Order: sequence, then C-alpha cells, then structure tokens
Amino acid sequence: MNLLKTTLTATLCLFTILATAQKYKDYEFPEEVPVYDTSLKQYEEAVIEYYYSLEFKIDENSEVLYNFNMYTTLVNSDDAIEANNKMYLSANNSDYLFQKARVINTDGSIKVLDQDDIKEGTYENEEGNEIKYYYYALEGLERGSIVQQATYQMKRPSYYGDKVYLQGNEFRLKQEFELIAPYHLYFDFKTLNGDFEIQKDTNETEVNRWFVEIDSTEKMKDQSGFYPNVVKQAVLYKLDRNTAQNRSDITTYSNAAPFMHKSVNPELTKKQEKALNKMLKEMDIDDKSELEQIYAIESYVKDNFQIVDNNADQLSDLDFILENNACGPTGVTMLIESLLGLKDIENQLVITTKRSELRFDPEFEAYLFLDKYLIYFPDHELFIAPTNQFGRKKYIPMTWSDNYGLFIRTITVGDISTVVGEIKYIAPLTSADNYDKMTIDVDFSKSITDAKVEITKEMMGYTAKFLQPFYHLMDEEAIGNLKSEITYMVHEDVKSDDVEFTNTESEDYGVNPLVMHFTTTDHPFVEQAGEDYLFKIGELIGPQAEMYQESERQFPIEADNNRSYIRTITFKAPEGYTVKNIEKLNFVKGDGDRENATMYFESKVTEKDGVYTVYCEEFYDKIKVPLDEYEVYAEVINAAADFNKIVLILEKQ
Amino acid sequence: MVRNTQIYKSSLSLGLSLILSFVALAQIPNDYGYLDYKEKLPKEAFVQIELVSEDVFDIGKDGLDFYYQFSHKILCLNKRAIGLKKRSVGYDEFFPITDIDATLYYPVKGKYKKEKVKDFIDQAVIKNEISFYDNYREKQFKYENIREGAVVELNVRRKVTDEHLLSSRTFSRDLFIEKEVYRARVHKDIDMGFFEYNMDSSDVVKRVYEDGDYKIYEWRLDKAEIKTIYGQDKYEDHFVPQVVPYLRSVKNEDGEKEYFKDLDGLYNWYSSLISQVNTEKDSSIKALAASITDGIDEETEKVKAVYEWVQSNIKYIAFGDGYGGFIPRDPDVIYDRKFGDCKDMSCLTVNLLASLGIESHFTWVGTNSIALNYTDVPSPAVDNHMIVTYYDDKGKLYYMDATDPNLKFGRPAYSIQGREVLIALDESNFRLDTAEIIPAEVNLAYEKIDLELDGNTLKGVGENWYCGYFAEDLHANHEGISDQDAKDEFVNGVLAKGSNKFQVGDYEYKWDEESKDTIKLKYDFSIEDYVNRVDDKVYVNLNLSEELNQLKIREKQNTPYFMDYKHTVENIFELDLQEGYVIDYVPEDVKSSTDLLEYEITYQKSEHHITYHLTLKVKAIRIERDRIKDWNDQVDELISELNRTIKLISK
Repeated sequence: MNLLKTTLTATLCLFTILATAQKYKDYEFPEEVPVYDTSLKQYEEAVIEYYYSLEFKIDENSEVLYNFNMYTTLVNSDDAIEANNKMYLSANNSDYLFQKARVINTDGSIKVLDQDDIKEGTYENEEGNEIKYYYYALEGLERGSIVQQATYQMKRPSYYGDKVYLQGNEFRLKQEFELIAPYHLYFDFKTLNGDFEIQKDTNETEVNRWFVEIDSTEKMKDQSGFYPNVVKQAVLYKLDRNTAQNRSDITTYSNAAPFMHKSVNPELTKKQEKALNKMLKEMDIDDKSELEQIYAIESYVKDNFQIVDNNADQLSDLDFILENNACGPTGVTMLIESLLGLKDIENQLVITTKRSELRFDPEFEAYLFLDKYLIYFPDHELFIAPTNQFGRKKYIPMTWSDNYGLFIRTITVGDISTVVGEIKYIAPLTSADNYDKMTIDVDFSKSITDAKVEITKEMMGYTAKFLQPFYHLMDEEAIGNLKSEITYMVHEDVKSDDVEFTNTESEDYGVNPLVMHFTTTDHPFVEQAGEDYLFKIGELIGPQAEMYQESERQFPIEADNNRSYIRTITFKAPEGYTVKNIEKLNFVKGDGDRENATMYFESKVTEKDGVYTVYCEEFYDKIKVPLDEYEVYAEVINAAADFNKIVLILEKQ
Repeated sequence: MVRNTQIYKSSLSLGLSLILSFVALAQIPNDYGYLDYKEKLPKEAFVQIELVSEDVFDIGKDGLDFYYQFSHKILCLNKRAIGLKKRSVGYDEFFPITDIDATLYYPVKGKYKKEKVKDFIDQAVIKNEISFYDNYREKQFKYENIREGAVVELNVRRKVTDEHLLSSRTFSRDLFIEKEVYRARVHKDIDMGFFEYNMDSSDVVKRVYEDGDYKIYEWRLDKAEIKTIYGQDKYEDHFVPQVVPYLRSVKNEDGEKEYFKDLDGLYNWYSSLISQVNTEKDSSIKALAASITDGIDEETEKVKAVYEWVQSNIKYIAFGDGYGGFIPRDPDVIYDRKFGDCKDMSCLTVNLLASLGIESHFTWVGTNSIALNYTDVPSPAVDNHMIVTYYDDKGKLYYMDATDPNLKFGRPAYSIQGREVLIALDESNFRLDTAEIIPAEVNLAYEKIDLELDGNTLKGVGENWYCGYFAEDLHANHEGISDQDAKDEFVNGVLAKGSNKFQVGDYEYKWDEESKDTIKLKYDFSIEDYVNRVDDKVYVNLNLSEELNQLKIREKQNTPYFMDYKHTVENIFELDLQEGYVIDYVPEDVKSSTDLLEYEITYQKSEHHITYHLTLKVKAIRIERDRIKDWNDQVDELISELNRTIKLISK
C-alpha cells in the first residue's frame, strides 16, 4: 500500500492532448489457434505466451491507466486443469472493461466464455478485509487444452512507481511487457532478477512506447527459506520527465519527503494540544529519561488506541482519533509524532517496506517503496514501529529491518527549516536480542525410564512474539489449553501438569524474556535395551529444522531475523551406570570461530563431581545467505538437527 | 534452529481475540444484568440473554405459508464485544429474508442509549465451501457503538419457499444461556414431524400444547451453564442436541396431500427431481458410451470403464444456485462442460450406461458427518451426496462415486461406510441398503524391509504395499503434486522412519491403475546416525514406524471419536547381522487385543538374523466416550513398548 496518495497528479495535464485510440479496446482473440513446440508437453502446465501492457492515457482532461494482459496456457495434467478451470479476478482497485476467455481443445473445437457466466461476489479474507471478485468456471478443459484469457482494466494511474512480475509457478515460453505513454511523458525503468533490458520502441512516434520480450522463463521451484516476490523476475517503472512542462526527476524522494513529513506533523489546534498534553500528564513521565519517555508514549498510544489497517481520511484526522480511540497507520504515526513533538524529543520519520514482499530499492526512487512507517531516534539509535499494535520498543516487525528506508528529518538553519530525505540502511536486531534459552535438568535418581526432566525455556524478543504480547488478553480457558499443548514445543509426546509462565505482562515484551517452566516424568527420552538404557539427550531441545534432503537451491536464503539458541543440559549418570559415548557431544560447525562467525553451532560437554553439563550455542547473524554460502548455512542448521539425534548410552557397570 | 511448530500459529486459535476496545469506560449500570453476570461469569465474554426461534407452519389463502422468526439478545461482558461489531446474516432463495432489524443498547456515562441499525448492505458472498457458485447472499451491518456492557438485539424473519426443505434446530452450549426457546407453531391441518436426537442429558425441556387453531411444540433451555464440547468439529452432528422438523402431510379439500409421511413420500419427491433431467439420448452421449466401451464384452467391465471415464474426465465444480443443488444437469451439458457436481457426475454415468442398455441407479446418501438415518426420519436432512449403484447379474451391489478420481470401482467412499443408501429403482420404487464398512484387512499398509548395519547407519531395501483406502489417499496426494522435487520429498515423507535423517535413495512408485486398490513402492534407504555404538556394543531400535506414536486420543475428548476407516499395519523388518555380531538382548514379544485395537510385536532370532514383526489392527471406526480411556490405556502400553531397543555385541 503506497502511503503517498497521488494528489500530485494535478499538475500533470495543462495541455489538451490529442487523444490517441486505446490500443486494446477492441481486442479479439486471433482467428488462428496458437501453435507451440511439442517440447512444451513435458510440462504439466506451460504458458506459451504472456502479454502485459500498461497504457497511460490522458482523455479529455482526465488521466487513466489501461492495463491489458493476456496469457495462453497449455494444460497437460489434471492438476493443471484444476488450476485453470476456475478463475477469480479481484475487483477492488480497478474497473473491468472486458474479460474474455476461451478454451481450445485438441480436436480444434473452441469454447468461448459466455459473459453471462461471470459471477460477482465478495470474499472476506483472513485479515477481515472484504475483497470483491468476478469469477467464473471455464468449460470443456481436458488434457492438452489451451486456455486463453484476456483482461482489460481501467485503473488509477500509478505514475510514481509500481512493479510488474514476469515469473510465476509455471514455465513461460515467451513474455512481453510494454508501457505506452503520451509523447510528453517519459518513464524510467529498472529490471530485477533477470537478464533483460527495457528498450524504447523507435518505430512509435505518436506515443512513447517501451517494451521487452523475454524468452523461456523457468518456473519457481517449490522450495522454502526465501520470499518469492523478492526473487521473481520483475520490472519497476516510474514517471521521470514531463517535457510539456519541462519537468524532470519527477519521482524522487526529495519531492515526496516534505509531503510525507507534513502528513504526520500537522499544526495542532489548541484543542488538540490540550488533549495531547492531558495524555502526557496521565503518563506521568516528566522525571523520566528521554528513552523512558519514548517507551511510555509508545505504550500509552498502543494500549489505548486501536490501530486499524486502513488509511481512510477519518482515521488520519486527529480530532476523530482522539474522540474514538481508533486510527489508521498515518493517524497513529501522527499521534505519536505530535506527542514526541510536545516533549521536544528529536526523531526522524523513516519510511520503508516489508522486505518479504517488496525490498526497498536504494537505487530506484519510487513511491511504492513508501509503505511502512518507523520513527528513528538518532540519539538512541532506536527504531520504533508506531503502526505495529503489539510490537514494542526496538522490536519492530522483523521484515522491516535489514532493509533500506527513506529517513526524513528537518534541518533548521536560523529561521529556515527544510525537510530532507536520505536513503539509509535499517540494521536488523542481532541474535543476542532474540534468544531462546533452555535450561534442562534430568534426574535419574528415582527412575531411569521415567527420569524427572525439568525444563526452563526463556524466549526473548521475536522468539516470544507469538505469545508474549497477547498473553494478558487470554481468558482462563485459552490459557488452560495453551498449557496443556505447549509442551509440544519440546516433544509431541511430552506431558506435564505444572506448566507455568512468567513475564507475561504487556510491558514485558521486548524487555524481559517470556519464561516457560515445567517438569515431567511422562516423556519418551529414555529407551531400554536389556540392562542398558539409551538416553535421547538430543531430543530435549525440541524439534529442529533440517535441510538434509534439499535439492539444488534455485534462490538464496532469506530469513526473517537474526536469532540465537542456548541450551544447558545437566544430569548425573544413574547409580550403577556409566555414560559411554559422552564425547559425541563435542562438535562445532560454522563460517568462522565463535567471535567472528555469522552462522555458528557448538556443543561441548564438561564434567564435575559426576555431574555432566552440556552447553550448546547456536546463532545466526546473517539474514540473507547467498547461494555460494548455502552449504555452510545448511551445515549449521543440520548441526542442530544432528544434536537433536544424539543418544547417550547408559551402560550398566 | 528451532522448527516453526504449529504452536507459533496456534496462539491465535487458542480462543484469542485480538480485537480490542479502547473506549473509555464509565460505570456500567445493571439494567441488563451486566454487574450480576460479571460476578457470576468473570472470565466470559458474552451471555445469551435470550434466543427465540419460532418456526411457523401455517396455511394462508394462497396455500402453505411457512416462515421463520428469529430473535436474539446478547450481552457483552468485556472488551471482546468489539468482535460483534461487524455482523452479517446469510440467506439464499430457499430462505429469503423478508424482515431484518437490529438494535444496540450501549452504556454511556452510566446510562444505556439505544441505537437502531439503519444500514443493511445486501451482498453476494463467496464462501469457502463446496459450492463454486450458489445464490448465497448476506445482509451486512454494523453495531457502530458496541462496547463492554452493550446488548445487541437482532430480529430476522425469513420465508420458507420450499416446504420440502426445512432447517433443523440445534442447541449449542457455547455461551451461558439465560433463556432459549425453539417453538414450532403448526396449523391444525398440517401434520408436522419433529425428530429429536442427542437430547438425553441436554437439559432441554419439551412441552406441547394447543393454542386455538394451532398446535405448539416448544423446547426450552433456561439458565443453562456452558458445556464445552471437545471433539472433531466435522462430526458435531453426532453430539449436538437437535430437532429436525419435517412435513408429513397437509389436509386439503381432496383429503390429504402427503409429503414425507414415510420414506415413500421422500422418495416420490426425489424421483420427481431427477425426472426433470432431459435424458433424450443425443448422439454425443451414445457415441461417447460406445467409444468408452469399445472392445469390452462383459457388462460389469463396461460399467467399470464408463465409471472410470467419468472419474478422470469430469472435474468437480458445483453450481448450487436454485435447484442446481437438487436437480442434475442434462448429461450432454455435463459432458460438454467437462465439470459438474456429484449429481451431475451420477447423471452422466447413469445416462451413459442407459445408452448401452445397462441399468444403474441414482443413489442418495449422507456422509458420516451426518448422524441421521433414513430409518430415523424421512427427510432431505439425512443426505448430502449422490452416487450411482449397480447390481451385477449375481445381485452384487457396486458403488460408483465419480467425485473421487482414485476411488476403486464398486467400493463406497470411506465417508459413507456404514451409512444408509437410498437406491432409486424406478419412478416409484426404491431400496434401502447400508454401505459396508470395509474390513481392516483390506486397508493395509504393509512394509517388508531387509536391513543391515553400516557403521552408524541403518540401511535398508524395502517393498511396501498400500491397499484399500490407504492406497486411494496416498495416490490422491501423490498425484496432487506436480513438481518432481516436491514429489520426491513427499515420497520421502511417506516412507520416513526411524529419524528425520531418513533418506530415500532410488524408488519405484507403482499405482495399479487397473484395480485402483494397490500401490507398490520399492525403495532403498539409509538412516544416518541411527545405530548407537559404544565400545563393542551396538544398539538399534527396530520400532521404526513413526505413526504409532500418534494413535492417542486427546484426553479432553468428551464426544465419540471417529476414525476414517479400519486398517491394518504390518511391518516385517529383517535385520541381517552377517558374521559380525552376537545378539545380546532382544525385547520380549508383546501382544494385546481388545475389540477396538489389536497389536503384536515379535522378535525372531536366528544366528545371523533378527526378524521384527509388528501387526497393528484398528478395529473400530467409532469409539464411544466411555471407551476412550480404554483405547488410550492400550495405546500407552504400546508406546512404552516402542522404547525397547536391541543390543548386539560386535565380534
């Protein structure tokens, strides 16, 4: 969601432009049936041709964007049929001018989609948003059929930056992208993840046309550990010049920054100022340090205002916000900025993206990257995320860091203030900020197979994100269910009836680790082999991710965040038994020694007075792992999984 | 790195509402009992103050006049009230809404204010259900000022447009119920039936009385405590208390018009629906049938060929608008579209066979998520599915459900095992039968593996057979994966045993297309670091099957437990020790048998071999509440056996 509402377009058309005809208005499927190479039959589903066109037009003083896309797909399997015989088109942000489809069967017969068969309805998605869809079923599909669909939509023009994907879950033989604009508008492009260049069509003189043809794009493999939208082949575009007005560098952050700054730093009315000062008084923070004041303001707003993911005008109106305790992303940022302003706390507005969906590009300035708000405090080197209801302090959403962003600040020289924007890097939190620490003791004194296992698990920061911010909202029944099921985190066959949690208040998140503690004698950690016992010590640490069977990686790894895992296991051999293969617990893997590694796993065991202490440390301070480092990464991941398999023999003396 | 277990996602499913209400609170008065309920139910979010559901079965000047009136009042006890802000009431052509009104009473500065909802948005809605398209719509509205202490009131009136299709009434106990009434007001000339089930220990009180020209049936639940059900949601019909109204007959000038007085009545209506199919055997159907059966002489083989053609060539897309959910499309339309729902596929099958002069039967059935039987109540509420049946010349009954592309010809889908089936013989005659419950021996997962030790690695060459429903399930999943790497990973997952270092080498997957009953998987594998060695001692646990640990039913379950199907698991693992080892310890044989579950683990030793033989048989598809503990105890004993390891001494 682009935060910058495109009110800047008003300056675009001062001239009456000679309107040229819309290129695809009267599009009909060609008479000839598509021909394709038989080698395509090796694919269950192959796109013979994909065509994506954007046409910016200025018609009678209004500005419109026409989007035409067409694809021709060969379906060769039942799965491909199932994937193509039902079509859903989301209709929230565009008007459909036409939707045409046809099925060409192996006997040459053609079934054309009847327009009356296109249904309309709304669907509520997981986030509770209602999305309008047009949908239909395609008749007559069989193995070997070709499906052709052509969609023509009218949208609000996106001059200031957008992204078009040119890769998907099926092999694409030929793709073509084009962008057409009136002769006085010049766009700029950047291609991503592919070996292709956008060219200008020198044959076109009435309009500006840019295009590219791409051959043989491989399909996205079904692998894990990366974000598909980030690695897909794509094109970025934006409006750069308007020769009719002699303007260039139109889409730049230096143009956007003042506007963005103003939208969250309005002039307060007397009434608003009074209300905000009252809130500050309630917080009672006058004698606190600046950092504590920042934390208090953030907590107060997030505890008392509901942040709705909607940028409706009302939700950005401070009066409405104060009256109704509800706000949108711009609204809450404005509220916090205003409170910080009243306390004179220096800060910078930072705008970035969620890198799991769209990486902020440090070279290509475009407004689609202005999506998520952060506030940066240079004196404290601290980022907070005003819009994240349950996040606190430096624990901003994971995928907003290890990313670039636009840092906006005010420079004041004498009486003159200027707002400037600068692209800078948002560093992620380290593995020390996000740890999972387990302290485990195993007591064989009363029983070997039913040894008493005591586990304390401390989860700090993002590691506790799934539970700590919400715990205080859970009712008794939910907590009961949680306690009876949470031992799953250690082993699915572990049962305990004394599970306890500490540091469960809302202020604890980001400050204190969430602590879970329980004891159990009902577990599968000890096996019997005649007189001897097998102690499955590795399983005490819980299930581990593993990458034993990975096929060749198509894309590099990208994780959510840096994290660390520390395990300390203590036990004494049962009376009359010796631990035979304890040295198995000494091993290390990583891309360097402990002080210098970015990916590391070490296990070591020591013994004193008959008590064994196993100390295991694992950390990842690398979010993006390039392909040539993948092997080391897998080795470290698998080291933890290897530890998980370790079985100690308790041999009868 | 810790694996993302389900726990990370399930925090939201643990009854958590993340929607918060931040409106400043003043004292909330007790006009609606807020203070009393807060004291009585401090942890609860809502109380059902009143729910009145009145079904009116009347006769008007134009004939039958059936309508439903529903009204409820719910009190919000905490901030989770905000979850009720956005509301919707669904409807379709059979139960259109004729009236709807909603009111909110909310506390402001110690007093209750009233807000009548003004805007109702009428919307076509896509649901995530079986129908691709039906005429489901919603009236959507908001209680703008909802907050803690508020009371929401909703009244809905619906017309019943088809007297054959009536709604059932359930009594759920998710909220504390101050007052709940289900009332049926029946005109004296109408004979209504009410089938009640799951009502014992429900606390529902029934009363029947006369009121002028009407007979009133009333079921009341007052001051009812919350009763949380822990069970498989899919089967809730089997334990939630319900009343099923059905129209038996109506007096008229000619005497009586019969509806569902008995099964004949129900069948007559069903028969009238399927007779609306245009079955003029046009040439495309005749030609198709001929081409499918070209070269096949034997009748049953012809039937199989036709069934399997429909299975693989017609995809499932259900259009449930209007009577589309009840009357099949014409066979030539289905063939042309290449898609349809269960009735369409049945219709095409019946007509293809009819064009060959072969008789087959439309057959109605309810899947096992429905608890009702035709012998309980003659009502469409009993079924939700249609298939085709065929009798061969020896009178053997074959089931044909083309909606499942991998279901063996003749075999019922596992969701209809033990269910009654209503078989159409002709326009007025039917037969009632019961779909068999496939025996455990048929649904077999058999593994025969030759094992050897290679250092700390356990290596093996195996041949697995999956039969019956096992084969069908496995094949459906296998076919659903197009990416070869993903397919390999899937097979690795199916075969995985011992530990997650299990790695398949080469494998050969063979689905028997002819019988649709068996999958043969030949493979070799290794499990690194599975064998534990210390000095001259070697430890290896031959209880390799990972599924055995998952048989337990969670303790909280307070409803019957349903299995998909009875089944048998058999593992024969032969460990070849060659010359290198002496057997020091082998666990004792164990055996346990009840009517629910049977298992046996034996170890046979010879000089250079140990043969591990496990058989496990799940003998029940339904475990009653009072037997769940028996089942779990037996499973616990089995699990403790799985911890026993073989000990060898290497020479």
